[in-house]
Amino acid sequence: MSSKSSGSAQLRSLKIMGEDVWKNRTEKVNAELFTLTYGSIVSQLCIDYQRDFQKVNKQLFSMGYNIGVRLIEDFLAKTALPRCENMVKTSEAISKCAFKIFLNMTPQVTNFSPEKDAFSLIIDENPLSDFVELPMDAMKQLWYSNILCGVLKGALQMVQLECDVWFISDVLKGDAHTELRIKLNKVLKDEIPIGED
Amino acid sequence: MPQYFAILGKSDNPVYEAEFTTQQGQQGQLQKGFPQHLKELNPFIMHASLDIIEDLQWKLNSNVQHGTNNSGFGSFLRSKNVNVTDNCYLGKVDHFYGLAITAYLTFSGMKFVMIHGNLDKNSTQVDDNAVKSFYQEVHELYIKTLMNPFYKINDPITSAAFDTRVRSLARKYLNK
Amino acid sequence: MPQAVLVINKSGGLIYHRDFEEVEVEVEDRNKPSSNDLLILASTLHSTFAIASQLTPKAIQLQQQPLPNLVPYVPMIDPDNLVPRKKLGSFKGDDYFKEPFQNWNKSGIRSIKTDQFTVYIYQSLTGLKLVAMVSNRSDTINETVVNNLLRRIYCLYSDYVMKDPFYSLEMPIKSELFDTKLRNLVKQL
Repeated sequence: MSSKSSGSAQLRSLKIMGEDVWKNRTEKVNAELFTLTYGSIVSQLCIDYQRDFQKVNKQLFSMGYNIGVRLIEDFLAKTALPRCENMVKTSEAISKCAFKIFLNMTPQVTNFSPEKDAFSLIIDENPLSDFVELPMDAMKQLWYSNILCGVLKGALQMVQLECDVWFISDVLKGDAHTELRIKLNKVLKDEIPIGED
Repeated sequence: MPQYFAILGKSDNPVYEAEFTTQQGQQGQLQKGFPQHLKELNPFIMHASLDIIEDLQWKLNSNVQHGTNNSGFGSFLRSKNVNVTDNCYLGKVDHFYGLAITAYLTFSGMKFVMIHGNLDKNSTQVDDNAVKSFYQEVHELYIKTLMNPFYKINDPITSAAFDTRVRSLARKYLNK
Repeated sequence: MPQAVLVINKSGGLIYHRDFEEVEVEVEDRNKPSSNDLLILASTLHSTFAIASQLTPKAIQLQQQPLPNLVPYVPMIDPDNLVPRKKLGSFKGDDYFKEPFQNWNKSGIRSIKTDQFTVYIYQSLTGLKLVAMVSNRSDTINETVVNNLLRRIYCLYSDYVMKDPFYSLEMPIKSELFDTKLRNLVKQL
């Protein structure tokens, strides 16, 4: 009983903390500048890879990965969050803190697998894809916001969580929601820094 | 009144075109569009008025020269019939056998042109305020289209969403 | 003011080192450690840290409630920073953080006291170690103050090193910007 209530208190404090860091501790940039910059990167990649969208997805992912492995330090420096004991906590930290701080949104966490090692994030308003309409030929293959998957993959790996991250659906493709799936493969126990226990 | 509306790029290339008809789909009435022979002629009529538009584009407004107009921007745009210069609306620029032609110039030089048809009367009356509002809202839609990273400037606009929105604007302002 | 600040990456390699000269430094005949010495020092510290963590009795580890890990916040606002207000990178406001925080280092070495100086170690969740060496002559500096300083250095690191697009991970830090900011930060102590 007491552990349950303290757990929910922690979740609430995560939310408050995320909002506080976003509001008072983070410098902002113009959203349209950000959206247009990302848009021009994606469309340039489509040109560079001669509309081979699988390659574009891969490239976006690897760009995201490189961001993620660096951005995690910023996240930790800003929040000083303790290690999450399980994926449920991780999912809360991602949606309530990470997404809040960096993109000012709180995706909904749903569809936990029975083993609690995989979950989905429902992204309601994706700031990356404002103004975007996919061209016909890209509709089937291109995951426009695939950079997010890479960022999450890289960031989680740096805190020793080896995960698969991928998009299940995207409103740009005519789906009802934008859904991103995170599945934990294994905890890299050997790489956890000694001294944490 | 049917209208023929088009957006033209900087080199007078067509970017978007649409024909608006009255009483669209209402009570199974016949849609009153342009007669067939005019339909084919519309692009020509429109292009014929481009010279006038380009002429107006660089004409200085006489008010500005006296320094009395301090509307800020857009002073180099001049309208033939409308004295307000703080917008891009050029008003009625041309006519062709009773058809009126209005135009709107964006600051980047895109031309929005419309032919206002008439069916019963011999001369066409243009409600400047409504047409101006229509143009301004289409301009906003056009800017939003430009924000799409996959849209290249001066390319034809193929987006179905843009088309639907323009048509609903036409219903709102032009064919009430 | 600490005498030196080191940054050690997660595999024990020294990636940054900066000495701070104190004004009334005692003239000693010791030679400055060579860069090789420093590398050895860093990796030794890294291994000792790991060994020490194993030596920490389980009983003590289990006893520890989250409270002893909480580091109280010590304000460290540069008076020059307020008027005119300078920006702290991506951090908004006049300080990098303003609340007490959890120390991630729970069972490893937090400090080594010698008769001349004390070594303080702060470890991030990603395995990065920030080390400060403080002379025992400055009695105003205790573990809490150093932890506050080191977390601020970590904030600098996250901004000026990790966000430098030309920095490759785990490699020595050559960023001038990081260096300057770190010196300014340390000067405030």
